[in-house]
Amino acid sequence: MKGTNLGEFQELVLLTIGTLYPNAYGVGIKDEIRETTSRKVTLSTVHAALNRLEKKGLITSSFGEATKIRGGKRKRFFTITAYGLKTLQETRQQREQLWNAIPEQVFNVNWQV
Amino acid sequence: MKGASQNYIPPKYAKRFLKWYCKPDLYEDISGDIEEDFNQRYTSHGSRSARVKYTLDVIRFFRPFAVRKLFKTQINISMFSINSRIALRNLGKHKLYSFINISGLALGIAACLVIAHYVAFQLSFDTSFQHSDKLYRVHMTRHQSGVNQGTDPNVGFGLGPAITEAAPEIEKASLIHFYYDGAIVSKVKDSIASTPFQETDLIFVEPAFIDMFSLEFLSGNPKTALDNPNSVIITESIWRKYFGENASLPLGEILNIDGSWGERGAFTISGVIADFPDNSHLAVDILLPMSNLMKDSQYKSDGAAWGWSNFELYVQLIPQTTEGLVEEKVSGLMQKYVGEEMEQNSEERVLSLQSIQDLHLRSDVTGEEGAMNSIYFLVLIGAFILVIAWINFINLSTAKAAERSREVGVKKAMGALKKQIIQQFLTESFWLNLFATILGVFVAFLLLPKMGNIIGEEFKLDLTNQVTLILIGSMIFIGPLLAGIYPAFVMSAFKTTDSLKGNKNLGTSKVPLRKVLVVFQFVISTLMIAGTYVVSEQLDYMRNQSTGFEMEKILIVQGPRTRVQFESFQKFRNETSALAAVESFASSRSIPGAGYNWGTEMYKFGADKSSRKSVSVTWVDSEFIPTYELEMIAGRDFSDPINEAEDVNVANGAIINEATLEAYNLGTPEEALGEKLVISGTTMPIRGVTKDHNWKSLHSKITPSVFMYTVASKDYFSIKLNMQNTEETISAISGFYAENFPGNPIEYHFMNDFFNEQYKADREFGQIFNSFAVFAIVAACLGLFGLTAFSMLQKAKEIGIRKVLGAKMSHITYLFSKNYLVLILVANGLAIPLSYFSIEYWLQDFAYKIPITAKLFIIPVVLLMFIALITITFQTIKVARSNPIKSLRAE
Repeated sequence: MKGTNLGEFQELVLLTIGTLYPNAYGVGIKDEIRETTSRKVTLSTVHAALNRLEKKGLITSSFGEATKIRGGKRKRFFTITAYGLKTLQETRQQREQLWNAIPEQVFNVNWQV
Repeated sequence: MKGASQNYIPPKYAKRFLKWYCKPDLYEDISGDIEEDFNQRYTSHGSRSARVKYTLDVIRFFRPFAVRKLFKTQINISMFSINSRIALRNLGKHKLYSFINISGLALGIAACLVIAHYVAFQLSFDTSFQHSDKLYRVHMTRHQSGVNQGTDPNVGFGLGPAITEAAPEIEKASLIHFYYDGAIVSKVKDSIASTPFQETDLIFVEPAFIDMFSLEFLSGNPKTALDNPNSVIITESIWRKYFGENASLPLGEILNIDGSWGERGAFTISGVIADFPDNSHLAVDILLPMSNLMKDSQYKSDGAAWGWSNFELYVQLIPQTTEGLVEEKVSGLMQKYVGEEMEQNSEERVLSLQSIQDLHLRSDVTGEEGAMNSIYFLVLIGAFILVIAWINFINLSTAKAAERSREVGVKKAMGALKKQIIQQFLTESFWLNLFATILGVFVAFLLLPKMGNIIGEEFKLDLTNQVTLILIGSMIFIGPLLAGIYPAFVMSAFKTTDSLKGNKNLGTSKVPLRKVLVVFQFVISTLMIAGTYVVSEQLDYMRNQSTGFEMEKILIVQGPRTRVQFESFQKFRNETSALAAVESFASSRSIPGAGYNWGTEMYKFGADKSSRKSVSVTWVDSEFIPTYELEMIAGRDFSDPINEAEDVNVANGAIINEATLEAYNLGTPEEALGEKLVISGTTMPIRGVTKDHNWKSLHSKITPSVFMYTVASKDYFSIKLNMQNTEETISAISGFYAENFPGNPIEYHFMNDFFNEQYKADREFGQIFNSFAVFAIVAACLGLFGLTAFSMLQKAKEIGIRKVLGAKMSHITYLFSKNYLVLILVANGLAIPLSYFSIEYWLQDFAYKIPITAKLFIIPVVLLMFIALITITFQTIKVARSNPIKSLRAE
């Protein structure tokens, strides 16, 4: 089961790659995460996560065109693999199961406090 | 994005660092992302913030996933880390052993670094000019009737144009002329001169000099800066000195320069250059146009171009030629221009070239500096200290072999290969060397400024220096191999069964090598002590040797540099002489230790002209000889001079020294009084003969020299004091000086200080030698200390049994010190002949030297024995005094 376990941040990155499709690349992912979660994410943490995900086979990458702003370097675009999608869905299912299992009272009581 | 299409340049070093560590397959992506971020930030937050962020990002990416394998080694990383752990544990376990090894090595490494720095500095002389390798100084060698009269760089100014005409390979040439005796310089603003300073490093040059020595202009036009004969170029420091720290570049400002060369008065600043490099044989602060000097009428007369040989000539060759080729073309040049005169005098003058890069260390030709020997000495010392430290390591490791043998045995029984054991011990050696290098660099960092103080240069540990980096690198990576390979092989060669049986005689059967190494260490140490001792003895000897004249009581006052009225001089002399503490007042054109006034040729009247030999002439007044208490062995001094005569020199005659008698076949002093001398064409009677005295340092022999009479001179005043109320007297003299010679700062020394200043280089050498000798001895003693400590530890049981059986402490101490004492005696036996040769070699440089006596050897030997004995007995006594129960109980 080791491979299917997603870290919280990895999951976030994976989801972001999905939302940005087909234009998910390092800086874009970082900016998006910063915007949506207002977390102070650095490029290197994003890259580290991307690297892990690719090693696990959850995402795949291909090079895009070179741009001037990148000092003539090509962008590396990431897309989610089928396996990645499956893992995401599994994770989501697990969560949903758990959500559903929470008794109604929990919400009622807790909202008031 | 967001239209941020502008492309900025990211920090260079950060980018390079990223490229260095990043995995190649990730590099494009990562660097692209960082750069994109950088460019966006640049537009939104500005350059500074973006650059900081870029650097931070690069550092943040230094994570395992992005970093490539930085060190491609054959050693398996996991094996290396296991070996390292074992090594570090071992170092921690044997604290004394590690301490001795690391500190000894650190000393050696520090010494090496410091010496390397010094040597690199010395070797860097005159290499920093753009055309350094093409610049040469022209030398002239004179032969008189076939006898070599010496080589010097002094030539006539006619040679400048002549040499470029003779050899088209000479691209540029510049005559230079020093501002001998210095000048008084002041800033002139609105016709008011500010405080004057005395400057010594002024130099007249031709415009070509600017290009040849690649002077870097901060302001002014290098092409025209020296065209006007009344222009002057100054260095940045001079600019700050005269115009203040924050002044703007002073083009067009006026400096007043007053001295005995060229025109006196106002010079317009036409250029400011970056400071001339310290590591050059030329010291340049102020450059004056040669055209100004040449205005002097003395250079206009017939034959002046070749007769006035107070110029030096530098040439720059074109790249396609060689020194030899050009030398061939110019060597006989003098024949063409002054051949007739040379033939008459049966004299020969040969020109040669010397690269300016060799002038600092290898100019023995002209006898100027030539310190290459001390460079070799120092390199040797540095190497010795390092070798001593490595020997410590080897000795201690092999001594410890017995202790480690069980560990090796077990490993081998488990199937470890010999190669793996060797790797383990090399790893240990690596860690030791690494720690030692770190410590050594730190020690060097502390030491270098001190060393700089000794030689008067600013020294700092420069980790960006290539030599330093190479040295440090080889200490870390080659050092462990050199020091560790032998112990590693010894350890790995143990037979498994022997070592497991606990046979303790394993490594020790190979003792001879260890003994040889100890002997070697102590030979070096003895040599060092002997060296230190001889240097200090020789210096003492030179300082205390009678020079033949009074040194203690004479106060030297430098005369005024500006033009002064004879009346002011007389007033100064009268006022000074009237002081109660002043015994006499003499003036002369030079003084002992300041060289002669005139080097010329002379022959005995009546002898053939071809018997001419060089002689040195100095002009002194009537008081000079009595003031210096020079002893007259025949004739009279200048006490009753003739001041009114057609030629005062001839009328008063010459006073010669004993060396002249001999060199010119003048017979006894009394006989010489009847003879006459022809000095540079003028015939002159001999008035008197002085006893020989050392006008120059005791490095050189006393040469033929002549005193001639002058009524008075404003160059040097020698004031003999009776040494009472000295301070008051000097302040009174300073007062008279300021009053009579306004605008001239007073400079005074006592004669003995002034004279001994000539031994500065020797003194520096002595101090440096001394400090490194201490290093070597400490390192050697550390080794000896470690060795005895270990053998005592191994023999603790034996000592315990001996004590139980009633052995006396003194007996035990003797028994265990004996071995090492024998080694040290052997070392002494070897060191004595070696030090004899090196002492003799070093003393060759001195015309007056201490005799090589037994004392020079006995004292170092005894001293070293004493130090070694303390080191050994300290250990043995400690063990011998310990309670035998302690060592016997533990089993």
